Amino acid sequence: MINEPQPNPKVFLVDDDPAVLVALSRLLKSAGYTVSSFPSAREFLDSDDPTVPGCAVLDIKMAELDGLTLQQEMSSRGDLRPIIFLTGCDDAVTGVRAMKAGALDYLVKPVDDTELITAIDHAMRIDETSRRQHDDREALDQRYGALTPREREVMAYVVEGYLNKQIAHELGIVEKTVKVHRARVMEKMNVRSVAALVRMWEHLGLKQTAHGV
Amino acid sequence: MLSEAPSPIIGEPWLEPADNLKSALVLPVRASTTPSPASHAGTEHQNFPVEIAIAAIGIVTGAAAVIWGNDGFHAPSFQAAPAPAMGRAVIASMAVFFILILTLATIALVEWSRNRKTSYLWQERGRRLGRAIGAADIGFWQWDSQANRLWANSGCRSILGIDAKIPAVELPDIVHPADRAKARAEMDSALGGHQPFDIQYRILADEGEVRWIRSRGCGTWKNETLQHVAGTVMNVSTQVNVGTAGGEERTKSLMHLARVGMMGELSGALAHELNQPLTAIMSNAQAAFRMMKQEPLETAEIQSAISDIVKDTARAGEVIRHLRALLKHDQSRRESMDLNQLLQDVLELTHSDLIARHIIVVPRIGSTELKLLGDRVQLQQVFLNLILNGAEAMSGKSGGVLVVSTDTVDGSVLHVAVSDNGPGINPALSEKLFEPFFSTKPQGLGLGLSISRAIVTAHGGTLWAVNNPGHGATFHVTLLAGAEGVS
Repeated sequence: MINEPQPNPKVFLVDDDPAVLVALSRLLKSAGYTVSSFPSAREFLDSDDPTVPGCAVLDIKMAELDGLTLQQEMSSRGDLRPIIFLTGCDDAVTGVRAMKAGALDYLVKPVDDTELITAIDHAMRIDETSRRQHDDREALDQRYGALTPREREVMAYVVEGYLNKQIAHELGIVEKTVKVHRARVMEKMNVRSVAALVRMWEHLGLKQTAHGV
Repeated sequence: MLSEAPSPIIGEPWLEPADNLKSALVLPVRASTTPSPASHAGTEHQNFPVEIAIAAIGIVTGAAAVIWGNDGFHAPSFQAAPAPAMGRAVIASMAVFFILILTLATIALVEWSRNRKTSYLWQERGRRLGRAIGAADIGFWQWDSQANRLWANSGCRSILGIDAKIPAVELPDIVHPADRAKARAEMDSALGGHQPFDIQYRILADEGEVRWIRSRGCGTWKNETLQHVAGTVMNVSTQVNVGTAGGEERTKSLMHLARVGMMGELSGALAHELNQPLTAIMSNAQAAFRMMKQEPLETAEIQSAISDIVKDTARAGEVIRHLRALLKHDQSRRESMDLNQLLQDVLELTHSDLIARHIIVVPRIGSTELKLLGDRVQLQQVFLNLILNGAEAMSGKSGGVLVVSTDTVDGSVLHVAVSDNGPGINPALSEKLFEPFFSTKPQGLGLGLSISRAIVTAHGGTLWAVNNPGHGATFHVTLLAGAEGVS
């Protein structure tokens, strides 16, 4: 049931009740997680580093900044870690609000360990996937960014299915030069086939066609 | 109109100076000394029919004499029997004079009989009213705020226990210290809002007797200036005492019901208070269970988990003990306590509920002890109720601030004010608020404030509410310091 936790992902625990904070932190540590616990939303935000993978387990009812406000604050700061809310009372309105704002789960206190751990594992997987997608996208952007303007023009014609000869004609250059550009594009984008290049083009979500370059 | 003293009814003079009774009637101190110029306007046209009749007859007579004397009048009947000019004039004058006398006599007769009848009716009405007032034991009074004159019947003076002959300066304020501020505030608020008033307060009559006075009345205004205030006073001590002594059983069960209702309102907060230790207990137990299955065994960590379980169980027990104390259906007990500490405890209990409502609490509670004798749980209930009411009034709006302050009036009266910045109290409902089963909340039982007032009264104090000058309302509680209240 319990996955072997990754060495780096962390559970960020925020609860303003010291007894609950210690107990939950102890439980999660005994289940093998790396836990960072905070007695207030403010202290969590002050030391928050969105690049550290993991998920957040937040108490809803807290003095000063409550869980729902913290959720908004996190998303406005670009901290997109999945959030699991803990609440003292099963209040449907708050639950709906939390889920609508993008919370992954909503658990009622006192919470059972298997329930909590299942939710955390799920959250960790989601965080991992979204971080991987994010990383992939970033790598892609980086590769595309390394292309020269001319290479980008050539790439646009290639994914549109133009032949080298046609591209040469369109750009007013000799076919041999087109071949050189094309080889550089394939190399820089780290692909071997035109089909793979087309997929990347789609991933990049570039709207412009060869004619609009 | 109240422009004239109704001496025809009971026949008693104005009291001079008026201040004799004014303090006992909690009337406003400030009064203009310029007499109202229009105070007799109502009597000017009393003789209207007689004056008009005399004027009309005079004009008709004069005109007739002039016409006849000038020979300009040629009636056919007079032409048939001609007479000398002088004789004609004399006859005409005599006839006119005779008609005049006859008319005046008739009018005088009618007036006299009407007056006789009116005065008889007035006297009869006055006698009947006097008998009724005597039987009902009601005191009547009127205050001319312009001239600062006060009239009161003897019943009024005996109910208030004030001898008219004692000069005002020598008269101490006989209104019960715990009721003074409240009664004055209610009177000022009613008169300020051009509303009738109906207030109850205690007075200290001779030989330490405490009397409950119900004072009702209303004012009249002219161009926004208060002209007169008229009202009645009744000694309602018997009713009030019956209400507190004979109705004790009823009050007790009402109080229990109110507590149960309040628990319902508090349940959200209490669920939180109980859930926190329970969550800690469960997580610690499950953590310990997991740790015991792991190698190497972390004995120290397991021990601290178990010791935390013990601590949190005690904490949950404390919450339940508190709850039971509040719900307990028992006799009231008098113990010595510190009012400031009591309020701190209540604020702690409501802490999470107020946080959930995003309300900022500003405690203006001194560190010096404010000692009083009373039933701790009952008084806690009063302040719990006032604080939750204040919070409720501000729910659904941001920036809710609840100010809870304590102070003391010359060390003998303790005063607590719970002030919110909500929408305030609808003036029409300000007294209804304290009636049992009256509630402005859809799910409210309508018992909180009536029970609170019953508790405060049983402690010899007063509970009342006023709207703040800006926003919101303030609930005031006065309690007697140190000794047990007069009951």
